[in-house]
Order: sequence, then structure tokens, then C-alpha cells
Amino acid sequence: MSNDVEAEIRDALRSRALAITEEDLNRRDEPVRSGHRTMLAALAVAAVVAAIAVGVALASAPTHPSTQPGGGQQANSCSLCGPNAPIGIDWRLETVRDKDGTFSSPSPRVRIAFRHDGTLVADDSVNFYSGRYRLTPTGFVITDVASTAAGYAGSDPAVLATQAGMAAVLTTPTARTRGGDIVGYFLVLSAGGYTLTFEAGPPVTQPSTAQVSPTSTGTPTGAPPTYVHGSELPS
Amino acid sequence: MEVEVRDADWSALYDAHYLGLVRLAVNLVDDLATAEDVVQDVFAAAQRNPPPIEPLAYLRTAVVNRARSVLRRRRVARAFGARTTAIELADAADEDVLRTERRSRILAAIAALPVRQKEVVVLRYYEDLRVGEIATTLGISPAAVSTSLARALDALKGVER
Repeated sequence: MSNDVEAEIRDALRSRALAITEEDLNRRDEPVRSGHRTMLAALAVAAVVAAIAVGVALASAPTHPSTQPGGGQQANSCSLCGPNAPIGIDWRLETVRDKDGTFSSPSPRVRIAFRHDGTLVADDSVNFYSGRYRLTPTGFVITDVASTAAGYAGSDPAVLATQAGMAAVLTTPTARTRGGDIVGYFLVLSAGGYTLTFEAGPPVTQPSTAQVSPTSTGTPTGAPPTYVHGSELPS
Repeated sequence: MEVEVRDADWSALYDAHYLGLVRLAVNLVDDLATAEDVVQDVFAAAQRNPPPIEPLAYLRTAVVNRARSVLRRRRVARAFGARTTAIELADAADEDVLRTERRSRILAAIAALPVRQKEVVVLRYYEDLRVGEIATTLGISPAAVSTSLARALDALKGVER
């Protein structure tokens, strides 16, 4: 009985799939994201410009901005501002890649959100992070990071990679000052051998009605980036 | 030079696996246009990075994840797609109407399954993956795969002949 059902399922799925031939496809010469392709082109151009700006800035100033005079505050331009900014979007983790491979998100809870008020929140499905960010010409500086201190006793590689990757992104100095790349609906953050690809989710809920320019928010000028590993979240 | 090599690799993967991945995606999202969009999106996002060691497994996982996002965003479209599929199949084979209708009912029942169960069924019976491989693809435990598969089969046994 079960075998009959399984055979019928297999037959139905294969019949539908194999009915699709090359002639049915609307294949393009190059893969292009569906929908909003005009916007994609604009974003792709902006991403290239941002990537060049990041590369130039990193090449000329490889040290942490907070160790330089003025930190990131002296900039008049902001490569991640405008339509290419990651601000105000709830970024949901799609994949995490490490030396062992690529894993899909272990939970729809895994996310990072840069709020308009200069704060950020992140969730790796085990621990919750909060902190502040400040946009700079090369990306953003993350400061005042605090997290819950829950442990994970399991062995799911996706959970482990996500935990380590999120911690690396939020706590590695070069990562938190470099920022990420945005292409289409994806935000890619890399640090410590981990690459986290987030997909754009819904707009973040604003904690207050006040909208402050990202370039003027975040940690007070001159305050060194801090990470309070294992501390409890501020209430 | 490195970029050219990466582009060439993704281009080869695109040519080799596009149709197969669309066929997988159509079983997940229930209509061809959306399935093609899913696969296009996956390649558009993936080609930013070097191809992984096991590109097909990577692409399969990415297609499943992308299809899941589509289904969750457009639950209404999912039900509509199931009906559309049934109509297309009914027209496809006049000489064997009963079998075609039976397939249509099964596909509609699969489309109505919870997303996770549907993914497990497609990977098991279309891709012929083992439980462990499905668990790796979906990033869940083998026990969770077995549970989802058992529940899905229970639901599908109820499809009237």
C-alpha cells in the first residue's frame, strides 16, 4: 500500500518535471534576478561603486578606523547610504558558508537589522545580539555589542556555523568596520572564514518615530568599539 | 584572471544544470514561470562567489531555500498554482485521462502539504535523495526528515483514487 503511494508520488512528480523541455524554458544567456530587474541594474552599479570604494579605502587604511584620528567621522560621503544602504530592513539569513560547506539557515529567526535610530539587533537562533552602528565610507562600525549567553548543546552544523559566523561578523574588528556587499535583495557579510548571506525581509519596526540620519547616529564620536561578550542584554 | 575562471565555471554550471534545477523547482513552486525565476535568482546570487566543491548540492539547497521563500511570501499563489498544474496535466494526455487525473490529484495534494513536508517529498521521490542527504540539503536532522516524510505519506494516502 505504502509502496503504491510512493510509486504514484514518484510518477506524478517525474511526469510533471520531465514534461518540461528546453523549448519550454525562457532561459536567458546570463542569470538575472527575477523582478525589479531595472532596480537590480541600478543596485548592481551602486554595488560596484561601493565595492570599489571599499577596496580603495581598505587598501589605503587597513587599520581600524577607531585607531585613526577622527575614526570614521571625518568622511563626508557614505558608500552604503542611499538606496544601497542596509538600513531599515530586516535581513533574514539564507545561507552560511564556512570551510566545511554551505548550510541553509537553521531557523527563520536568524536575522540582523540595522535600525534607523543607529541601533542594530541580531539573532543567531541561540543568542540575541544588540548594539549600535555608524556608517562610514568603508561600510559601518559596530559598537556596544551585547548578547545573551545561552549555550547550544547540539551538533547541527548549520546552527554551529551560524553562531560562529554571526559572532565573527559582529565582533571581528575588520569585519565590523568593513561592512558588507549588497546585491539585489542580498546582504553578504564575511568575517573569520564565514560568509553569511542575508535576504531582504520586511522593513524593521521602528522603536520610535524619530528618524535620524545614519551618518550622524551611532556611537558618540571617539568612543572605542566595544564588545561585551557573554553579558546580558540591556533591558 | 581569477574572475574569468569563476565566471566560466558558473556559466558551465548554468548550462549544465539549469533545466534540471527548473524541474526540481517546478515541483516545489508548482508553476514553470516561478520555477525559472527561482533558478535565475539562485544563479544570480551564487555567481558572486566561487563555485563550491559540490556545486549541484549547493545549487539544490539554494533552489529549495529560494522556493521556500516564494511559497511563504505567496501562499495564495501556491494554491492557485496547484490548480493550474492540474489543468495543464489533464490536457496533456488524452489517451490516459484516468492516470493523468490521478497524477493531478496527487500533485495537488503535495502542493497542499506544509512547506517542509513538501520539500522532503520532492527531494525523496523526485531527486531520489536518501534521508541523510535530505537532512543535509534542508539543514535539519535525519529524524526530522523521517517524521516529515511519514506525515506527508499519511496525508497523501488519503488522496482518493
